[in-house]
Amino acid sequence: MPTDVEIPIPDRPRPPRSLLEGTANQVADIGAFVFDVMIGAYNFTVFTLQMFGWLFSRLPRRGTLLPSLYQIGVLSLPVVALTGTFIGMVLAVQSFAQFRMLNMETRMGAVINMSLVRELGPVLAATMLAGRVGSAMAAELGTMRVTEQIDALTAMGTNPIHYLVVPRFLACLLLIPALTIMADFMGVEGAARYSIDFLGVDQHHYWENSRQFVGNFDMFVGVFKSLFFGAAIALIGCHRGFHCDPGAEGVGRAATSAFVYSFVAILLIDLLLGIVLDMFYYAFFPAAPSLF
Amino acid sequence: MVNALRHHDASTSPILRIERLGVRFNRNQVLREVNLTIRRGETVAIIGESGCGKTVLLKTIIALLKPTEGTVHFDGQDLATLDEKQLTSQRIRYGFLFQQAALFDSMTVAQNVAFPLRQHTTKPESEVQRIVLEHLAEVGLAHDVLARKPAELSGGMRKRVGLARAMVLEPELILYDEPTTGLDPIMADVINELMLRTRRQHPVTSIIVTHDMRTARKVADRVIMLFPSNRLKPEEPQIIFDGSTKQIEASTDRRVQQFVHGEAGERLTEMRQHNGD
Repeated sequence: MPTDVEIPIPDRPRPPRSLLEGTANQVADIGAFVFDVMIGAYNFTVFTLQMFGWLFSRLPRRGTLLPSLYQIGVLSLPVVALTGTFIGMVLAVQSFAQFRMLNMETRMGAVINMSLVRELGPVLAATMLAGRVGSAMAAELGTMRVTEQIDALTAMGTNPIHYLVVPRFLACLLLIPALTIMADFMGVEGAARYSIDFLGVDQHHYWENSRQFVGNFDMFVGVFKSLFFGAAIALIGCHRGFHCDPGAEGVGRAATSAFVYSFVAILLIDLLLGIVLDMFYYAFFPAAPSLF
Repeated sequence: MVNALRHHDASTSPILRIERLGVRFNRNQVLREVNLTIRRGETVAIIGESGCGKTVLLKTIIALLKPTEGTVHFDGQDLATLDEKQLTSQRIRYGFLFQQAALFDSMTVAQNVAFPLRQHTTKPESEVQRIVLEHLAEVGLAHDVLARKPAELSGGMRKRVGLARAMVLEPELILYDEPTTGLDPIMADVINELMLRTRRQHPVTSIIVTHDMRTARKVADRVIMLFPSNRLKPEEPQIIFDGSTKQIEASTDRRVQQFVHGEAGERLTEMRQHNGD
């Protein structure tokens, strides 16, 4: 019998008695993991479908949409702009030595700007949004869940998905292209200023090469991908908050998992869309220009 | 005469009928074979020890939880047959006071109370503000709380704001989840008085989930006692008492008497045995 000061140690799982039992346990663990993943995917799909159902049946009120637009768009602008600027400058710093060895410093602009508008701008803007907004959504909705505020909404005849999720989804979807363009612009400008003013790259050739190799399609690819990133961040953040475990620990876990899942989703979507859009591009523009 | 009869029928007809209700979370059977009828205008207190399923019953009544077995009929309509949109419109006929009031943190007191009006009516803003002030005055709150956030209020004030919000659409059925828990005896009595006043001023049916026998004695017409299903024999009903506040004092059931008088009795021994002491 434990005394008052002793904390009972939970029973440890019994070690397997044979190799067969150990293998069977491992198979069972894998089965349980796969089952959990499938249940999670099903719940997420249902949540997403419900959100789209409400989105197309009734738009949110201005009073619920405007605060989300402000929180997600306006307040994210400085951090996204700052990230874009520094990434542009870092790219210039890192690539300058390599291009100089080949005597191709003036081609730097093409490579840096191409990587910024197609990849780094959208991915970094989305990552910043996932960190700043996705986890905040999960924490806010998670707190509302554990303090019964979401139940209170339901009890008052207001659908919580329509009231809480639809405005956040719309705000992310509508404003992430603007944030991406801001990250692209600041990155391009940061890289150009550093390359031209500090590294002494010829201004005319820097911009001329950029203009030659970075086209409207590249801009479109970045902005198009960002729409999917924004949708994923909003849906994952809201879903984690809605299905938050009880207590402060549950809210913390929801916020962390919202960022981790969003980040993985961003990378996965980036890869898949990158492949699809490249196939599309070379199918329609087989004589596209190349760097060398 | 016809009108008088109609009034009589309306006042005694059941507003809520629960049949063979069961709720299970994984392997934990919280409610089992619960049968209950509540008539229009009644004030019913549901009592029972922690974990016996009182709040689960309340949340099932408002369809926040889906029953595993059985049915809940509100005003003759089986809630299980309604889709999400029909349920949403049905819920406007309920008022729910949550245990911790569940006020929206991001809104002021005035916005919290006005929320159901703004969501479900097309009343002009001046009318909304008039109704909000009226309901806050009814629960004894003055103008100075209007702009405050819930975090700036005491527990008792939060409960009163929650009550004003629950009453603002003048519901037919109001559900109170432990309205006096966590309050000092005076504030608990204030809430009891407010529940009585609400009942006098509005023709409302009330269901109060409580541990507090003073609340049950003071406010309720009828008391129902739930017992944890895992401590019952398979053939025993989960509602172990259903009667008036006077009848509960005279009940010969030992479990009822222990709860009414707040005596641990053999429960302490049971808990020790369960913990392996």
